[in-house]
Amino acid sequence: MTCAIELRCHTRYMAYGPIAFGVRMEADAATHQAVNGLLDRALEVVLVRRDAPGVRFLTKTDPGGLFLPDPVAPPPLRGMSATARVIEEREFDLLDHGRRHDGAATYVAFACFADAISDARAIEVVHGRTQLPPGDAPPLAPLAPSHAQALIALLPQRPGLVARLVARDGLRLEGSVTCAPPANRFGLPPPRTGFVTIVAIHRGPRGGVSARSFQLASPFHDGWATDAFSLPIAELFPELTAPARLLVFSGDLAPARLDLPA
Amino acid sequence: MWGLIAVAAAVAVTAAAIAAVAVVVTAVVVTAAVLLAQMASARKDADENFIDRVISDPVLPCPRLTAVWVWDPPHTTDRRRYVNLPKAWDPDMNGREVELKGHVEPRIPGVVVNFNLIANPGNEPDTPAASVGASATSEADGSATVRLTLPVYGGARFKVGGKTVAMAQPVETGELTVWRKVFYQITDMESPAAEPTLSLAHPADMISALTTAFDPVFFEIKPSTKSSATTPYQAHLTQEQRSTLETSLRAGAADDRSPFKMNIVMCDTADIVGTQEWTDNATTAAVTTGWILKWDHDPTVIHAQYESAPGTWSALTNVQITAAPGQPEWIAVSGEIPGFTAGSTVAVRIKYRYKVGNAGGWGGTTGTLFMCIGRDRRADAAKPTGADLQQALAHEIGHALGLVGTTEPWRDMDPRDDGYSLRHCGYKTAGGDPRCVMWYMLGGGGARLQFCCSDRPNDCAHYLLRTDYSGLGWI
Repeated sequence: MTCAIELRCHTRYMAYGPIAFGVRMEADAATHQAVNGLLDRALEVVLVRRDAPGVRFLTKTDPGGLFLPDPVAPPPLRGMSATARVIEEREFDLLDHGRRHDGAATYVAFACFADAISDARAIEVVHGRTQLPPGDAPPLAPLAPSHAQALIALLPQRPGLVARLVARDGLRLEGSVTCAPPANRFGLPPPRTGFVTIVAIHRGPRGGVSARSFQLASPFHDGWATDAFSLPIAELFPELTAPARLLVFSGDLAPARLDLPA
Repeated sequence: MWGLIAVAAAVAVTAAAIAAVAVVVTAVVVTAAVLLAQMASARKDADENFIDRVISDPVLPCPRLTAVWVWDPPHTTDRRRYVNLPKAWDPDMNGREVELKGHVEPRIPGVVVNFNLIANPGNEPDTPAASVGASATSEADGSATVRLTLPVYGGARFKVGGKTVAMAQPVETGELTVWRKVFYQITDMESPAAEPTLSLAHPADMISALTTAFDPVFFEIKPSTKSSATTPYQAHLTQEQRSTLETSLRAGAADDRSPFKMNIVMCDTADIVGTQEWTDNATTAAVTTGWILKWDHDPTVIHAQYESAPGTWSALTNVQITAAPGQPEWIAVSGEIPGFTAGSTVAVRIKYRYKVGNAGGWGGTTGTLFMCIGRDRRADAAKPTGADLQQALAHEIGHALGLVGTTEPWRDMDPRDDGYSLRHCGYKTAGGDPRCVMWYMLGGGGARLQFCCSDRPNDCAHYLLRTDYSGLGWI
């Protein structure tokens, strides 16, 4: 399986729209067959907040529609090429179908299609009066001090973000981060703690992306916060199976990339 | 001698007179004694009668100590109360404010009646309290009225007891149960001229099938004053056509049940069209795309070409659309490269339209719901049944009733819904299966046909129970 995905977008949008994105999906014949010819079933366009916890996915179809389960395509006929590629281009707007963007925000945007992941783009949505409220982000429980210190010691530089997968009581995502509070120009009080956002990308023919944000436990002190996290993958993303990639984000820091072992 | 005779005569006369007087006096005395005895007897009878009357005669002294309270019909029987509807539509059935009427027996004024509220012990724990007036005083005709204010909470049950001072126990009304009611119109689409035998009329049991989902959350769905209509056939409704049709139907659907009215519009199809381009480096003259879902409303092939010279694209020949054996919904596009030379490789590209899945229905918060039945009806004239549409309709009505709010803790956290005014239910079973009709996709039965209710108060059923629908703004 060798698919491709390209994301086209601007770097700066106004919150009242349009906030338009274009994607070009390219599927091999096996993937086309696996998704019953419906390429967008394996597509997600992901916007990870940089200025706050939270994730948005672009909407592929009107949420007012209620769809029957996809019919299953017949098996390929002799004469259907195994080397063919199927290309589909789609245009999306973050504000399609009545969605709103009630505030300013900065994002990392990227698209995932089957086994392919596009380049990531930094984008900004400008709003004149306020910041977009943060997304869902439950607080993480603090780790034992010795465990936290061991993870923080992994940080090669500060500010920075490091993460790894370890097999302990099942597979766990562990890491640490040193970050500054995200700035906003609306005079809003800064958040008390930093945050991490974890995106899990299933790199199979049917694709699939899940994401979670968490507030870290340690408060900012003198403009910085250093914290560690250790999260069981089975609880974070119960349906995730290899092949899959995990991306860990925290603010404007370079994300950590981890591939789930087979 | 004559003197003696005269004296003797006088003595005799006197004695006779005295005897006569004695007789008269005796008679008088006896008569008086008899009369006195009779009078005494009569007074004794009168006293005894007086005691009897105090006990049994309602019009004699101390009526307030003897009056009893009686509820008047219909307050003596168990009833539903539709708390979301305007009271003016039917004061005996609608609104949260209930005037309970009764009277005292005997029907006299000025009797104080005391009332008490009796909540059903089976009420949900988060049911808000009802309230009732503490007392009322009977009017000139013996009647009295007390006002009961019900909560909006669906399924809440209350009685009221009424009692005068003469009563040991209050007498209770029938039980009032809080219900909500909405109204519907069904708009059937006319048959297509080219397929006069294809009916796009709704299944007869479509509304009754909804009771599975809505009875447990105390919603009645009843025909509106204008409850049926037809609309001309349209082979396919695009998003724009749906919007246009909704607007035109909305104006005609408004009636005296507005804005508590929805319009369920039956239609043929309302799918989404997509385009793809199939490309290959062909090593044979014949080329065939993979399977795609057929789009019925525009030509399938946009172009079918081969690279006849570098940068020059020419039309394939013998371009055909072939349906999968036994599955006419699935097609493939094939063509031939004219003048193909064996052993060569030729770039080909075929661009086509296809159907992006099968839409079962479209809804929202405006009170107009589209049900796409053409596909099923063509396959089987008896399909879809009301049961077949039950899940889609309940789901869409659930959205129109506000499910699932963007901040509700049981919302599906999947970012697919982020930024919308409504989300879907995120509850699953321990085995990972969705368990609510508000899951984001159709499919399944059992719990998937009802609003989830086992996570009070954070579930879809309890949201519907506690929400005030008096401000509903449908059609």
